[in-house]
Amino acid sequence: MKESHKRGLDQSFLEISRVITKLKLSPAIVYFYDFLVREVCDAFAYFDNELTPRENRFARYLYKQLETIREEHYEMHSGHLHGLCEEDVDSVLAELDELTGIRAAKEKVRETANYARMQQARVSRGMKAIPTTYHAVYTGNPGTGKTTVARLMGRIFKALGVLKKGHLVECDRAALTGQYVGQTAPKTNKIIDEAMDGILFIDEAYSLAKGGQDYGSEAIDTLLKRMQDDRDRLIVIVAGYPREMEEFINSNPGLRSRFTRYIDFPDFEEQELCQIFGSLCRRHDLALTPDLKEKTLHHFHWQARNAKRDSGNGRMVRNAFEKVVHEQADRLSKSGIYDAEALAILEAPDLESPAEPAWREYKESGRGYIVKCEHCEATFSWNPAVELPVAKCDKCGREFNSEFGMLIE
Amino acid sequence: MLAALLEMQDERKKRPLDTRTLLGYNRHSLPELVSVYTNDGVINAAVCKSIQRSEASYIANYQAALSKLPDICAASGSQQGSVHRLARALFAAKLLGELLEILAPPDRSYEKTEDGTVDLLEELGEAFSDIVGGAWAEFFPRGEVSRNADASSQFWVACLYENEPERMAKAFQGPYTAGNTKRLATLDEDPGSKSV
Repeated sequence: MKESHKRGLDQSFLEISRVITKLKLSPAIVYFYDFLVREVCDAFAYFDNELTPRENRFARYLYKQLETIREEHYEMHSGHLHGLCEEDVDSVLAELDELTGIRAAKEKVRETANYARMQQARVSRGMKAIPTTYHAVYTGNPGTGKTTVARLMGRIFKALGVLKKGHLVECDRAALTGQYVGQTAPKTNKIIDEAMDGILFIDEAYSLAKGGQDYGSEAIDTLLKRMQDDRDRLIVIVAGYPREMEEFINSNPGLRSRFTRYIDFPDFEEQELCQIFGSLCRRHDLALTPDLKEKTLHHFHWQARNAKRDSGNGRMVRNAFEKVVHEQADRLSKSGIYDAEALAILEAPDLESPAEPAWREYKESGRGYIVKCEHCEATFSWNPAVELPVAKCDKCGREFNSEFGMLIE
Repeated sequence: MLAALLEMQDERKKRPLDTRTLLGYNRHSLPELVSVYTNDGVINAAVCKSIQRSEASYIANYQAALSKLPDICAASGSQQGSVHRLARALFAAKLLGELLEILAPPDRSYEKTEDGTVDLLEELGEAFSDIVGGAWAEFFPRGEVSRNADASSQFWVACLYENEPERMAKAFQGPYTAGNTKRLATLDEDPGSKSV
């Protein structure tokens, strides 16, 4: 025990991750150990039914550490898992389809995948490949799914044989540039080496071209050279806010000529934010009471109208989800009830929301809610108490997501 | 978890599972799962039997420990929900260790280091115990003597350092029986309140 204290609990968890790798076990086992550690810590924390601020601080710190190790482990080994599966491109595209919203982006990914499939088919029949590049610019606010799609893109390219590994190396300006003369090129080259046979994803890439930052332009020059030299082994995706990215690409003719594919990631609609929230809950075996479903609608309605550009969409939903789970934990500790039903239900008070007064007012007005068929825009009434995640449209006959409705304004 | 562990088996390597499929197995009971794997030839009948025997033993003893919860909690002054969660997590960790013992190919479960050969399964168990012990020390700092501190250490030490599920269940309760309630309550008394 003393030893573990000295080296830190995160180091012990790192050891678990290392041994699981050595044993060639699925990354799912690391998730399971993470779950067990959290269960044990939560049990200790609420042993006397009282969570002190010190205990809370420690638990949150530890969980964050575990999450980082767990995610890194998954990142490193999901490729291995996928590699074993030799997954086909259609299963990755099916996974893409399951992502909430971003319809236009999904369409563009399909176009790129179809093009790459055609190219590979030509090559396999001894024909010449049509000269092309797969480097791309992803524009959109943070948390709109750019990294997720880039990761799927890597798997698509791998499945099609365009890239040998298809892994994603994510970086930003700080990871590419040095602080002193002579540091930048080696640093940029090192990151590019890591991304070889996969995708280099540069987040907020526009910051490399900001005025007066010479090391940024050195990184761009190094990147452009490697994109040329290693064109068969490296795909670069640059990402950031739309306007800034346009300025960035136009700032250098070399960038303009190499980045020919653009995908825009619009902000999620409020209903989509609710759906992401709902799917996070489902993934963690949590169900929402009708009241919470209704409050969730109002919460994201408020957020979509009042959140700042940087507050982040998908990330905002994940943060909301984490807060709700913590509130649930506090509520359960007060009641002392930890049966399976109590653990699986999230209630309206678990969601602290600035939209609370508006929700109450709306409820009193008795206006009700609607839900729209995403295919033909037909409108139906929606009731939070009815558990109907997918409905069949009376008008067009197609199925549509009816898990969350919309406010009548 | 079992499906994930079965990835280690050579037969399964030819048809490995993605994460979504693994999660889908959560809907099946253990007997259903092992029969699928046995029919597929991924595991043989003997391994299937060992898995079922281990699971049955762990579950029976876990339930035996749970049946003592009201007494344990009355004697230790702990929250029943928390003790329940702790027992579930610790029994699950030990069952996972047991399944690994059954399924891990021997050539992959040892590592040669400069200091000698290391048993990776043992390392895994020790790392988990280190975390549990380390976390316990954070939640119950030295110097804070109480029934909760004593009871919680009794529970995790009993679970992680006993090798048989029967012994785990017995040691889990330890001295926290109804008959000891009054005696154990002295652990919560302020030592300065009594004159010597």
